Amino acid sequence: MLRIFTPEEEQALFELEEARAWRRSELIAKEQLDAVELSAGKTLSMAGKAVRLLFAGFTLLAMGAASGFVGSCLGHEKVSLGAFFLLSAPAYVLLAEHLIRRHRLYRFGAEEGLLMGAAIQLAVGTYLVFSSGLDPYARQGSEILFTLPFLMGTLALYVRYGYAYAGIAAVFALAQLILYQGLTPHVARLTLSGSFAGILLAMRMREVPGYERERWDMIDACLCLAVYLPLNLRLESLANPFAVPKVSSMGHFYWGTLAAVWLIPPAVLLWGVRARKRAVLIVGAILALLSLMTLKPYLGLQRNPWDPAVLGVFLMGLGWALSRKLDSAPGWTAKQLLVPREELSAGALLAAAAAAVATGGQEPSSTPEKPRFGGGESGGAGATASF
Amino acid sequence: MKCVDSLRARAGLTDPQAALLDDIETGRLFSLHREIKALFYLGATFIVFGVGATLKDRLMELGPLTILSVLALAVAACYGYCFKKAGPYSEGKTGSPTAGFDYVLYLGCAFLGLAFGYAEAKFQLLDRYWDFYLLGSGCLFFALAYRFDNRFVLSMAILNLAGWLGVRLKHFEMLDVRTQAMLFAAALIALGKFLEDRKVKAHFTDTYLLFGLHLLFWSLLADVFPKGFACWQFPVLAALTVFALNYSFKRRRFDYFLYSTVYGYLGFSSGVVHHISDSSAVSLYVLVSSVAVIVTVFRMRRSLEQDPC
Repeated sequence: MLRIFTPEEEQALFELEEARAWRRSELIAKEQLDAVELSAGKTLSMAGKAVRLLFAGFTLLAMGAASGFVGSCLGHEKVSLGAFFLLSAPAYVLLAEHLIRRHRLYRFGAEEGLLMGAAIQLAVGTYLVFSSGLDPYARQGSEILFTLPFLMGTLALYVRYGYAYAGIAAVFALAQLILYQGLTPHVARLTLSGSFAGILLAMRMREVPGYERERWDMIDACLCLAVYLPLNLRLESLANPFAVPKVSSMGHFYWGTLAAVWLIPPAVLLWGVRARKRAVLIVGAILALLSLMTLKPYLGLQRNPWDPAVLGVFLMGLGWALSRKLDSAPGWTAKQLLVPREELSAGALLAAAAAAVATGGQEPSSTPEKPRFGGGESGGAGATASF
Repeated sequence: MKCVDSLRARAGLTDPQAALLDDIETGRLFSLHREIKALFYLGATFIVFGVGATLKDRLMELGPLTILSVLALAVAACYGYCFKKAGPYSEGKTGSPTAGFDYVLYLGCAFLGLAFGYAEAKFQLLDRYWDFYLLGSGCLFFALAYRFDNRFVLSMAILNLAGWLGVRLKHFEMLDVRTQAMLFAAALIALGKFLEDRKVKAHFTDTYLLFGLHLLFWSLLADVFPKGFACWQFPVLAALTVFALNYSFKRRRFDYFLYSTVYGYLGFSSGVVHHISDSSAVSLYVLVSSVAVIVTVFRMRRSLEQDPC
């Protein structure tokens, strides 16, 4: 097997985590969880999100500092630095493997930082070493020297360690690789969308064990996004909501993509509902929202300032209808079944951001400025208008 | 093998338990709880955005009386709904009576903010005392947060009050903005602990602590960054880091561990870097210090593993 963890190890940890989630949700008694923990014996070590983030952050910081130090010793010479990256990347992988085997780490952050850092160094190192000798004409396509090793590296990480984010990074690297092929915009969009649809179909053939289902669902969802995004030609209108594009001279490709943009979200939603894949369901809802928000620009119609409010009423209405009717639908419920761990809440991030902004270095002035009442300046009570 | 089958004997699951857990695991019973909440939240945000944009765009056509009447009606409708649906006040944690309840309350608060903002911009009722809108909404949001047990509205209240204090104290020129922020943060932490000790909405303590700690850390760092070790803020930062680390272990809250380690490292490193001018020495320092942090924290890994629940 290519995977560093045995299926038995991953299954044992998965079962333990499931039992903990059931206990958190009061579906089993404490004695029952104790019995599971006792019978599980010594499982792989896993840290919470906060600790993983801390370890991964400091590991990447150390790796960046090592590169900075070596770079300054080598006089920031690109080829030498690239060679250092290429030589150090395998060393980092070996170190991560040692940590995983010695301390039985599963998701602890430090080894994840080392491995992701190694994949980045492999890509940057290849680019620095092999792009410097290219003539200016050949250099136009030299981005491939970064993207291809990055794709290989992230794919290897997914296969060997099962990191879902490495699989997702590989999907986006593949998209970049297709875009570098010098195709015309229409062909590039169709190739991108078609390739990801093909991968999605191919992946459905595989039998996935229970402990890996959530990861595969996330990659499925990401692939659905990758099939849809190249086909929506009006995504840029989200950044410029009141521009009215001309559509009178648009050809079959344009109207074909409109049809695709309205066919893909229901298909994804239906798949998510039938296969009970949460990540796919969520991406299906996001795609449907994107299709709704880009419909007017697609048809060349002017947006109204109250359109978001109408959409908001629709969404709240949908939420209300679902919460009322769902419990009478067999197999569905609006109630919370499994309670998630309380880790890194959005409130904490809001607090950190607000504190950073509030103490962001302004010296006091004697005459307080009057606010413009724009976008949430009064702590969420303010609105988006600027009167 | 399915998880439930494997655990049935080991955990001594009863038949009804096993049946329910099997339904959940296989997706035969599927909850859309979080997705419905996301729909409500997105919907409420879009409504506020749309109403704000419409008011801005149609200011002349609608007229101030119409705008204020509509906003007042919307606020009254939202708050009326909340008072009608909510159960009696409790000092413990209470669940939302309906799925959309929290978001209707949020809409009411947002519409009130819009109404205040518009009224002041149009009529200058309070003029240079405009910040009293912040005080008024902050106090009202505090009351609503406690009445309806809503941490999001409590966050809005804290931000409004922080805004009001910041603006008001500027009139007096007694304290600089960072000292004000520190005092406010210390008051928040003290209030949170005081209410927790008295078991008044003890689950709100986290909100007070998070706002208070982040504000304190940033206020201290804002002075430590330019001055390095040579300021009174540095020992205070060190003491606060130790306090927060201790708290994180005591409560097994590793998000606090993350914040305090990062803030402490930033403060200490800025002091060190202050005395180094060579870029390769800075790189070497960052390399050695971050490895030291990793090794130190790694040695504590048994205490940092995920809590059973």
